Amino acid sequence: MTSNSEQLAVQERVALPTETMTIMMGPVHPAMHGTVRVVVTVDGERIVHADVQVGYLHRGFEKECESVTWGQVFPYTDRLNYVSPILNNVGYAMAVEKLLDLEVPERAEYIRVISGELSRIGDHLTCIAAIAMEMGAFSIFLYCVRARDIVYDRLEELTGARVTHAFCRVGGVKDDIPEGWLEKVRGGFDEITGVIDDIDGLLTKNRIFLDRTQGVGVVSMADAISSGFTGPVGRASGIDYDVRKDHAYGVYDRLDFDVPVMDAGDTFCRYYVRMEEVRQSLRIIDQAIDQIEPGPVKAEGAHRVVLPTKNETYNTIEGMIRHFKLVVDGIQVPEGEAYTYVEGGNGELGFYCVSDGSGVPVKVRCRPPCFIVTGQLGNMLVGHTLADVVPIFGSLNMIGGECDR
Amino acid sequence: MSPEDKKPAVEETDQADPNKVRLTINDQDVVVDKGTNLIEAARSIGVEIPHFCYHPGLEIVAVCRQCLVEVKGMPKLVPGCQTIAGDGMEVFTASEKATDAQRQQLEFTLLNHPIDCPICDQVGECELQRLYFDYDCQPARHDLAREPQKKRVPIGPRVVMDEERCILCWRCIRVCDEVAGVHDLDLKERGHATFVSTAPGRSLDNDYSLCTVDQCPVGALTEKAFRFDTRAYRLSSVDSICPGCATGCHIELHTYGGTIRRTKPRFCEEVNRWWMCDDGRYIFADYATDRADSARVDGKDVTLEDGLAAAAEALDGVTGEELIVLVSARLSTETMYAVKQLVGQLEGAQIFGTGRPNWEGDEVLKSADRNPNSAGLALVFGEDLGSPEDLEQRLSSGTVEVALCLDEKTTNPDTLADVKNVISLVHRFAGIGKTSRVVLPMAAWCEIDGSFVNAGGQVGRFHPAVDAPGDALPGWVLVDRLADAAGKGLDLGGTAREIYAAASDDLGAQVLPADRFGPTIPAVLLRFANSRG
Amino acid sequence: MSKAALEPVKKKFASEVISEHAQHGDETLVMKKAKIQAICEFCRDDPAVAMDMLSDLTAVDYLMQGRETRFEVVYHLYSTTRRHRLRIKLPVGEDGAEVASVTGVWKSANWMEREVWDMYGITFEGHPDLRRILLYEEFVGHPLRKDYPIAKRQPLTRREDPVEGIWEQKHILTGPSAGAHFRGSYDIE
Repeated sequence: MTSNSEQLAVQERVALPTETMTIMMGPVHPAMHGTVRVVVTVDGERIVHADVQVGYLHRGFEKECESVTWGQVFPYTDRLNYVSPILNNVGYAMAVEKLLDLEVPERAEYIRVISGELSRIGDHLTCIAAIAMEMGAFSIFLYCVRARDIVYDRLEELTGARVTHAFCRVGGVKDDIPEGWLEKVRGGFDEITGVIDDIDGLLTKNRIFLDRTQGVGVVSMADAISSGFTGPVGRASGIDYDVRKDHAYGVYDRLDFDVPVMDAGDTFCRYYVRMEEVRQSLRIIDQAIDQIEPGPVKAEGAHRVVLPTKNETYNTIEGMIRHFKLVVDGIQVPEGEAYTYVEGGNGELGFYCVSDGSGVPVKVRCRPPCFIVTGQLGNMLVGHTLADVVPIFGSLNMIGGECDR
Repeated sequence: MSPEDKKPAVEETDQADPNKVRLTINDQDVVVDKGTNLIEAARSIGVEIPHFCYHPGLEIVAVCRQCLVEVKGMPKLVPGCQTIAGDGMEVFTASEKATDAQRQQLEFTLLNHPIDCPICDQVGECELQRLYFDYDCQPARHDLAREPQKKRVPIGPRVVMDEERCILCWRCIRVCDEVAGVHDLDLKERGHATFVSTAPGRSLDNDYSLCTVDQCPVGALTEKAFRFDTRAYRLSSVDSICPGCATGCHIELHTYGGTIRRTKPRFCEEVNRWWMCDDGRYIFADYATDRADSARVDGKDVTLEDGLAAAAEALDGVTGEELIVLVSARLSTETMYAVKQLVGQLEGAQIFGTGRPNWEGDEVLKSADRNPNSAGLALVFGEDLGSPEDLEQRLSSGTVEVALCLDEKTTNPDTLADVKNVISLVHRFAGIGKTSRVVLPMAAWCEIDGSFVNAGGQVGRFHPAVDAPGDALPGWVLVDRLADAAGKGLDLGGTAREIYAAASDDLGAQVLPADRFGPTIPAVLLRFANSRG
Repeated sequence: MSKAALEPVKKKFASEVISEHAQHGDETLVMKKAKIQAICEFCRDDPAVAMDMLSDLTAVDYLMQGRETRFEVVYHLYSTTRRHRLRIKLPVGEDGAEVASVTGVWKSANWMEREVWDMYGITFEGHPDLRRILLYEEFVGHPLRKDYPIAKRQPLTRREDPVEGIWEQKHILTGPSAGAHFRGSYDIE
């Protein structure tokens, strides 16, 4: 009989047989927001392969758009990136306006900027909330949600709904700003800034948070560009690209703001870029409130595009007929194709619209930044531990509605 | 760019042709036949001149003044419907003067027009809506009160009139005068007080009254039966042929939610042009309810397979001499041909034609023969077809064991009381559908693909508009399956098109031309057909 | 969009260009599909064009317009250095609906090509993992095609026969239905 130490020596020389294990994370999982299934194959704690399966929220946005009129697409766009719905509205409206060569009045552009940036603040707050909560910092989530509610309240006063606004129209926005609304928006700045400052103080130098996010999920700039990363995720990897600055649309060229860019490309950068962007969005809104002037909120004289006022519709036959034709037949958009892009909550939100001259689109394609970013999640996870899946995935801010459409 | 710089759109030979006229419309060269008016000349190159009162099938009256266009050299604008194209004319349909005139005319027309769109049936196919949107689209310049007039006037038994919506285009008056040949409608009062009403002592009660509804460009005249039924832009349109009489008017069946809602005539130069009679409008309603939807044997519902088996059993061991076949002149040509193939396998079987009795036709469209496919019957069976007298004789001889009948509407069940085994293919459990031993459910004309041959020898193709109820199948499918069940396979194709092709080969392509059974035209959703006015 | 992006590509691949336009300021080249990989590599590597990012890859079905070639695969290219864009469209017929994959040129093409395959049925030759992405594996048909009825439902139901071999595999799964190796299946009516 061999001695214990001899037995051990024998054992050390024989490699332990191991097997990888496949774990299903999702689609029903507290951290798989927007329903995504990540099938990770782990060797011990290390991920050797990750297959990201999306599509659980696929509702056929493009197919639906092909059977309704141009104006009826707006509610569908709301439900793309549903945490920043105004930005989707704006992107789609701009695409149709491009096809129509239609100019939007200035006041409407400012309203789009203000409501859009409020929506963006809501989006970033939600993302920060999710990143923190999924790592155990539940209070951060509650702080963010409290601040986000201010955004929702303001948008509800403006559009009538907290989330699914359907606020933009081809040629402008649905309605003018209610009285006193701009002051109320300004009044909310302090609280939102306060929340960001609080979170900054709690997380940015927090040992646990840093350990879990720094160096985790690193994407190099070259990889990021090749993978089509834009928005906060791209800027965290060093891509200095913001549609509002580089291809300014609407009135963004009159507004002064900075674009935060970091170069480490890890989860921490993706979190911190978003924090800074909230501050910049508040700056933008502040300037827009100063600059906005009274005026029309829908393109004037565009009788074949813009619905007549209610007064006109009910009291004149001309208004009634125009209303009917625009609603039933849809705006007759001239034949052609156009690609417009705005800065969505997660990057370049593009809309590629094709028209055959009728009131119903041939194609409305949403270029979904979340989908493209999630495309690389599988590669990003390899080599990390199972515990890293949650912060990496959380920092990408994958919104199911936009990813799956 | 002057006209000289453009390449002439005409060949040298056209210039010399005395029957052709060469002019320019919007700086584009056009060549048309002599006597063509400007609206048609413009239409030939795809240019639309807006109009209300002009109709190619009615007398030109030029009362609406909507089609005013500018012609070089003429001091005033001219109506495009009344002006005949002349050699060397230069017409401008969208110049500033012409556009102004068109806009002003639309504004005038809309001055007193009621804001009825939400409750008007014409929405979605309203010519006024379409022309206003395409050619004017300016907001109202006044907010004066409108002249109230009579609404919901019971102008006739099938038509409702709304005087406020009328734009005084006179189309309805002309339709009654020229198509129906009766003077039912006329104008009353004059000047701004003019309105359309019934002629003294009359009501809008002629056989073509619903053609006025078709032609009314607005919702002034609407169909009573269709009132508030469905919005026009929700309807899907299917091309069909009216089964009411041997004229076989080309029609459209408009469906929504799986049921037919109304019938509209379809333009066909040879048969009915733009018109159809009122009797044909509601035939679809007869087939909507109370249908035979399952096979029955001895009065009990059975599966289709069992029904076919029972029918096959009845035919089993029966020689041709003991069998008679009653074919109705209301069936599609394909069903008749299938029956012919079946009878061909049963030597000695006698075929008799049945049909609805004649009624009084008229000189316009209604044929005295109330059966849509009598010509088809004659074509398919020729001399083999026995007359009603022959049938009586045969039945009284007592040698008939089995009778195969198609169509319960044309066969009197009492005449077959002595026959032991009656197999019938019916639409309803009525008549022989009740008394027969074996009843097989047949799909109606509006549910199948097929063709009729009309009195003039023209083949008309119809498409299915709705699904057949329950187990009902097209006649030729039932005949085919019956033959299979009886062990006599017929070499029929699987589709009506193939049977038509076979019939065409057999009976001659000149009577059943191949191109008349054209491609299957899918249902057109009226909304996306750019809301036809 | 600017001509600076279009001209070099047009010059280098003049034989592949079918047409060009700049509707609404979007420079577009319609090209033959045969050399798309070379075209994309050129767009990425040429310093004047420098399209380092594939912004979007999609397809359009022109069945209702009755075109000769039914589909069009549309590439939107972007340069982060030169800040210009280019759209390249490839007419792809119904028979022979294959295009070379550009996954080797830009990583973002991976999932976007999978989506085009899923929705339109256009295959991408050379794609490392061409399977459905937005729809489940058992789905039949390609729904964004114009002849796929919008109201058609294909609910997931219990499979009678499990996909062969799935139950036995224990190692890394990469084929279709990867990850579906749990006992039982969805039963959604």
